[in-house]
Amino acid sequence: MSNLVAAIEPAEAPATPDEERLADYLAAVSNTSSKSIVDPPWTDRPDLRDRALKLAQSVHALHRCASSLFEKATVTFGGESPPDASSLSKSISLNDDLFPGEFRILKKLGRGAFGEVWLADDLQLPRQVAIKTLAPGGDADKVAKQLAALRRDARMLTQFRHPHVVQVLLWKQRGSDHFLILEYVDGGSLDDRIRQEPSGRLDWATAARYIADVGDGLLAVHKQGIVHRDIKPANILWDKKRDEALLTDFGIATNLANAADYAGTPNFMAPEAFDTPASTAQDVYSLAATLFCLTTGEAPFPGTDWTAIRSQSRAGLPQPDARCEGMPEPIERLIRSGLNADPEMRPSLTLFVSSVRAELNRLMADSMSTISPSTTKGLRLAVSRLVSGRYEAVTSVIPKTVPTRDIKRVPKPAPSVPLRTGDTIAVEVVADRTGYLVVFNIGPTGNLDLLHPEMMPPAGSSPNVQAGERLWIDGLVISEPAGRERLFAVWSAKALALASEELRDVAEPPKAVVATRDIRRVQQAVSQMPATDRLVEVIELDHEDSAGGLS
Amino acid sequence: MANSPPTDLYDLRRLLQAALADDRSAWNDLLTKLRPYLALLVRRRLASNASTGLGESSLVQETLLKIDQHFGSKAPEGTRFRGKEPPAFLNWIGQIVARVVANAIRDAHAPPRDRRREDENQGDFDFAALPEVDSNDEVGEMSVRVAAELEHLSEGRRIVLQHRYFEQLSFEEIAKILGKQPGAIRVTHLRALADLRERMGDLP
Repeated sequence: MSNLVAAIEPAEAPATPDEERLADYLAAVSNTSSKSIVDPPWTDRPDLRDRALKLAQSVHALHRCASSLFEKATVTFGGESPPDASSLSKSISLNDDLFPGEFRILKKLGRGAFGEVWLADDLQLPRQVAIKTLAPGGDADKVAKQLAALRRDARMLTQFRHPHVVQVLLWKQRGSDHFLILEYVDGGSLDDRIRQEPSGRLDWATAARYIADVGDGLLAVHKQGIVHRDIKPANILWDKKRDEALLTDFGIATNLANAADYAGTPNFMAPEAFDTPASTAQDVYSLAATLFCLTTGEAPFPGTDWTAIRSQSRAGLPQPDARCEGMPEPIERLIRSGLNADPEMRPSLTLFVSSVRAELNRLMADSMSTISPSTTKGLRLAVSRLVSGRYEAVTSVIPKTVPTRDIKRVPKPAPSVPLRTGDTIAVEVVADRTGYLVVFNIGPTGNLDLLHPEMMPPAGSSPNVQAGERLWIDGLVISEPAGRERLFAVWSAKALALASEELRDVAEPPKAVVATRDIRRVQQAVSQMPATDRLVEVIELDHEDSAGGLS
Repeated sequence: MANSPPTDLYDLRRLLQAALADDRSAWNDLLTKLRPYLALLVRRRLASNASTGLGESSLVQETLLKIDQHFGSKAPEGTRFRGKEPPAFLNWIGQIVARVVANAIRDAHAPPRDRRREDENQGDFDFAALPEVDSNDEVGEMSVRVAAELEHLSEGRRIVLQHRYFEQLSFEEIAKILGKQPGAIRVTHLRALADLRERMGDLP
């Protein structure tokens, strides 16, 4: 039809110079469905600029219409892809007493591609559970195989515990109907959560923490031989009380999708996932896409059908991408690496997850240094390196920033000290006032170690540093892996409300070292102190391996 | 804060409520208004299933038939549309389009034995089941109007907007299909937007 139109329609009249400008601008605007409109920089032509902005609004209205059409034509019965017709009749209701003496059904929580989710009371234990009905479509042989595969995974997952994975409790069968009994997580999904946020997104630190946490859970489940293949905000639940994220729906999409469909959600799927077997590289992509979505409120490639999404994801994110403005450069860089269209070029899942954690912790440390009043210089933190038997001071430098860094609303980078793996260093800390001093180091993989003192000073204990007293920690050897570390010292007028036990989730056994992967508690404890009662200094230790060429 | 009254962007609410009261003339007007929208829905759905070779207009016709069969007091009790407002109605017809196109694709690709099974399964098609929808889906209603107004653009301009927004093609891809330069397509895109805006005024 289109070729025929080209033949019979008169050609458009040649464009005027103004039209050329407008056409190029609107073509660029139409390439993104972002809600924000980039102003045309035409200060010399306010009339043209006004016209451009009005037409840009039409572009966004068309995007919204297209998106609404897509949802209406594909989103079936509660939010996901249309199930096979034969599955639509399978449903449970409040009147059904399907599990007498075991569970009492309370209310429907939602409906997904393969069935419904119901909230129920566990009648034998003081807890609530989520009951998921499983209703795959297709012929009987295929359904039997799909359910058998899912049941195998479920059986394995019932033996599995991880704080960031929704626990599978039981598999139940009533007649021809199958049910998964799951841990109930109050708080809805992260997809619900970003929809409820006035800004339509989460702050980058919270989003990165959730992704690092569920990434840890995902790594643990992968070791059981189970892949997810449908990681997206809707499949990450939020424990409201603990403010923790938990991954759910392992294997369900993979096992139950019709062979004719792809398993997963196109906006969060790696381009190769449409036609190649599941791989961990696909989960890296989906985690990166989910982190992008949580931080910006939009899928990285918000097309509305798989051909468009695949072509967008192959082209990659625009450079720069205005949607990343509120995101720290290291987080944006990690997302870009995870979204690489070539699976070979993506980091491994282990590297991706540990890098998100490490960057998050380093950035959190940097943000703590901004907590202390900038005019106060009451705390000095310095590093010396052992050279020919003597410690010599190493001068710190302000790290270079890339151009887009300047527009970002993110923590100021800490001054950096260049080192090499194998160097022996000493850390010197001096506070000009009496109080409590603690020194931490965040290693290249994001682990937070307490360097001084050996245990956190308990509440009510005597100050551990006097005004002007020099704290000298020497003999610290810079070890592999190479990378960027954060050394930071916290002085406080009172002991921080933080027990060593709260920071001991990494080094076990024996629990001799105080170390953690989650520095939230440190940040909370520091920020709880009045601004005048705390000082924080941060230094970056940037060490290359011994072949790195630093002199 | 008081609830704002539901909007009626394209006279859909009035026509729907009259049709629910068995006003046949209103029902016909409503279906006429919806036809371009249905065509876009079908096109949208087909775009997700490349190379189906299915006829768009026959699928629109089949969808209209299904809508008509399951709407109003004459429809069987168990399968009747039970909503009252345009958002639920648009959602309902979206489901019908999805199902009609999905069945057509299956029929086109399935061996004869499977086709027979699908035919037997038609009874499971639950037209009455409705998802929960926003009570004031302005975008959905605006889409009905946009679809209608697109019909009034010159065919060349309409096709560029359809390819760009409803099939998500790049300017380069559209240029290739239409045998033109991408720069010319960008100019047509600009003029099509201007035409649409002139017809619709300020879009919400």
